[in-house]
This record gives sequence, C-alpha cells and structure tokens, in this order.
Amino acid sequence: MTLAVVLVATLAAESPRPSISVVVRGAELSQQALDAAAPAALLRKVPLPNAAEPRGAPPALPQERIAAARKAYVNADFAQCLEQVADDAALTAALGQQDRANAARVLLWRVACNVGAGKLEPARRSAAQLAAFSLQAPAEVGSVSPEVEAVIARAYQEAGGMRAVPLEVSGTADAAVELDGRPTGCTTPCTLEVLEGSHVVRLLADGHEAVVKLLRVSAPRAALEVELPTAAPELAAAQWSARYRAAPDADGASSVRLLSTALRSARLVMLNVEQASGGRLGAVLAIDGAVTARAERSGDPATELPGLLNDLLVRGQLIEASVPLYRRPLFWVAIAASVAAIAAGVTTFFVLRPVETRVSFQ
Amino acid sequence: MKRALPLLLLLACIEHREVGVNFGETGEGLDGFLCKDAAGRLVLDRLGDGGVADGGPPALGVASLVTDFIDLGGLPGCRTGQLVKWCSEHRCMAISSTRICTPMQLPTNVTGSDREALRARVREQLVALKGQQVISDAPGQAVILRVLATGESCEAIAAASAFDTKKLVGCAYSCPTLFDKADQDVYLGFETLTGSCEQGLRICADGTLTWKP
Repeated sequence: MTLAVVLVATLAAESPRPSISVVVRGAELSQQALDAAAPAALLRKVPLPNAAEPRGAPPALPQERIAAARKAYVNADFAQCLEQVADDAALTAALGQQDRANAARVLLWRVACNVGAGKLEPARRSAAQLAAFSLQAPAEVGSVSPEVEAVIARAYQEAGGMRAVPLEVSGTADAAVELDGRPTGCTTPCTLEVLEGSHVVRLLADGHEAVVKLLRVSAPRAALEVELPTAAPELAAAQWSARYRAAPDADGASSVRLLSTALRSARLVMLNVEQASGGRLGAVLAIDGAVTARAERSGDPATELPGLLNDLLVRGQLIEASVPLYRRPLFWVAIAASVAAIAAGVTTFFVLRPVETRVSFQ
Repeated sequence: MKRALPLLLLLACIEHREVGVNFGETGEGLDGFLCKDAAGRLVLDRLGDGGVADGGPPALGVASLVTDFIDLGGLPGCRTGQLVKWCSEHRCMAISSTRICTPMQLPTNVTGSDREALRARVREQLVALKGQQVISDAPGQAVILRVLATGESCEAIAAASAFDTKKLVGCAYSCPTLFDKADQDVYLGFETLTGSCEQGLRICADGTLTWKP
C-alpha cells in the first residue's frame, strides 16, 4: 500500500506534459492513436496547410497606358506620351514582377517620346537604362523613327563596352536574388556582376516576404543589404503548400521551418507514415522552427508509433528518457518505507496476535 | 474458496491455548458450598425438597451449576474486601454471553455432617465435570470466573434477571485473571473465615458483586 502511494506520488511529481503540434503525411493516423502512443506528451494533430499562393498584384504597367503612350507618340503628342510612361516606381515594380517585356516597352516609348520632344539627354538616359537592364528591344521598335533606333543602338553599344561592377548582396540568409526581373541563381550572401546604372533587385526567401529594391550601381563596387520581413503564417502556409506539399523533401529542414511558421507552432512533429512494404515510419521534430531530432522505424506503424515518438521526444529533450524503477531514489525510499511498514505490521501482529483460550474444569 | 482462504489464514494465525480451572487439590476452594445460614443449617440442604434418594444416605439433590465471566472494568486485588470495594466503585457485570448452566447433583440433607467429609462429597460430585468446557474463547480482558450452584433450574435462571438468594447452595470464584495470559490452572475458591457465610454467598451471586442486605 505504502509503495503504491509513494509511486503514485512520484509519478504525480513528474514535469508537466509538453504540448506539441503534429502533422501527419501519408497514411491516416487518428488523434486517439497519438494520445495512446505518447502519454508523456500532449500531442495535438493539426492538418497540413493547403493554401493557394496569394493572388499576385495587378500588373504594375497596365497595357492601356503603354498603348496610350504609343497612340500619343503617333499623334506627335509627346508630352502626353511621356506622361503615360513617366512613372519610375511602376517600372521598378514591373521588373519586380519579372515583367521585363512591358518594362522594355515603357523604356522604348520614353526614348521615342523624348527624342520626339527634342529631349535627347533624357532619351539617351532611358536608352542606357534599357541596355543596363539587359532588356531586349521590343518588337515595337520597328514603329519608331530611325533616330530613336539609333539612340537605342548606341546605348547597347556603349553598354557592351562597359566593365562590370561587383554588387554584393547580403542580409537575410539564403534568399534568392533576382536582378532586373530575372533569376540569377544566386542566394545571399553573394556577389553579382552588373553594369553601371540603375538596377532592380528582388529578394525572396521561404518564411519571408519578398522585397524589391531599386539601386544605383557605380564603379568600383556596390553593396546591398536587405533583411526580409518575416512572413505572416498565412503567407508561410501558401509558400509551404506551393513548394513542399507534394515534394519528396517535405521533411527537410527548410520545409519544417516554414511549416512551423505556417502553423504557428513552437513545437512541431512531422510524421511520415508509409503502409507499403511492411510499413515505415519517419518523424522529425522542430522546436522554434529548427529541426532538433529525427527518428525512423520500420514495421507496422501502429506498433512502432509509441517507440518512434518516445525516441523522437527524448532526443529532442522534450521528455526525459524513462529511468528504470530501481534507479529512482524515490523507489528505494518507497521500498524502505514498505519494509518498515511490514516490519511494524509483523511486530504488531505478533504482539497483538489473537489468542483463543479454552477454559475447562480440571 | 476465495472467501474461505483469508479466514483459514487468520485461523492459522490464532494462538490456541488451554486453561483449566479447579477447586484445589483437596477441594479447599469449596468453602462456598459449605456455608450455613443464620439458622445454622447448611445451605446445601436447600436442595432437600428436590432431593433424590438413592436408597439412603448420602442423599443428592438436583442443582444447577452456573458459570459466569464477570467483567470488572479493571484489575483489582483478589481479596474479597478488595473485590467488593472495587465493584462498589466500578461497573462489575457478568458477561451474559459467557454464561453456561449445567444441571448436576450435589449432596443435600447434610446438616450435621463432618465438614471435611462433606467437602469430599461435594468435590466428588464436581469431579464429574472434569474436562467440561466452560468457554471456548475466554474474554480478552481481566475477568473473574464465578461458579455458582443453585436449586433453581436452568430454565428458571434463564428467565429470571437475578438468582433467587434463597436457593443458592454454593459459590466459588477466581482471582481477577487475564485468561489469555494465564500460564497455569486457575484456582476457584471462596474466602471466608467462618462457616456462617450465607451473606458472602449472596454477594458472590449478585450480578454486580455488591452486597445487598
């Protein structure tokens, strides 16, 4: 009795159960199965995100304005033409949206309308911009005057003779870098070779919002440091759905980090359950987005699940490894108390042993 | 079977003891059976009316031998005075569940007999009780065992709340004893310095061991 009471008290004194979110990939696994498999933790099954990417912003350079600029140019209304394509912010945004074709058209009409208005210097700057962005001359170039074509050709020629300037991009680690609306294959921190002049740099990273920067690059070198804002869970959910939902590396560190943000989960377990080929279980534990433990088992998932979760949570130091009873000090305290109680009971029994005395005449 | 097991274990743990009671090797504890009343007649003669003549002396009368364990509520001394004083201040009470009444025969029409010869005759009758059980499990507290002989029948005794003092013919009692700890036979006797001890007999027979004139 005493032993039982002490052991119950020992168990009651254990640390509180950690709360952990669990996502399950592959075969279905019920909340009851999770509860039964890891009684030392409070597992909460949550669904995998299945969110669509947020709808893209409307085109920064509406076709109507470009068409209106062309019409104004044809009508020799160069002021009206320039008004339609003068918005630098829209040009930057368009390159941020990888809309290089419309960016090239805007710059073409800037060159053409400036030339038409007799403003040769602004026309040359716009042509140089076209060349610095490495934009292809749009098909409409055939509908402008030869003088305009000459300005543009000269700008491309001058750009070809320019030396590249190193541009160091840093800030949020592992962000993909796009330059002037084109992917570069570079991830931060990295260095790009760019022509002198204005450039549009866009940085993207999982779990972060994308940022577009317009910067002026001049010799001998330039640098750009950008810390991307952390993505809201909704954006992270959309990013995860798009990149990892059907990907084989969904249990990778990047995926799990993104998923932790998407699910607002400080502690996240991703379970991969395969029933085929005798069954296989894989699990990864992330704490504050960082993977802290992995575990894997082969065999019937229902049978292996408790062991797998125990391995994972012990490695992740969320629960303590189960210590054999005989190595717990309280066990020996309980044993000693029990022995003392039994000794006292036996002594009491013999001292107060029931006696039956038969009395008879002699 | 499952219910019987703990009971068997308990029984196995119980210590069984045997304690005998006697009136002394030569019947010296039988003075309470040799009392005379105020008129000088032996109280045994009270059995005379129901006496059974078996062809002449010695005559035997029908009596009832009643054994009672009396709870004293403590452990007083053994002398009569001590017992009477104790019971006047404490609650001394026969434990009704321990009473056994046994019909037997005792000498009667004995007035004028030699005292020691009469003692021997009474002892001879009581020896017939040898081996008879007084109780299978003596009380666990200090008690005195009282053996009382009366001319009343066992039925009449069971129906009455007290003994008829005019029919008492003998009494003996033990010292206050814890029978569970008794290491030898318990002696039953009657303390008197004179043969005129009928009053002592009444006290002995009283349910609360108190003297009532």
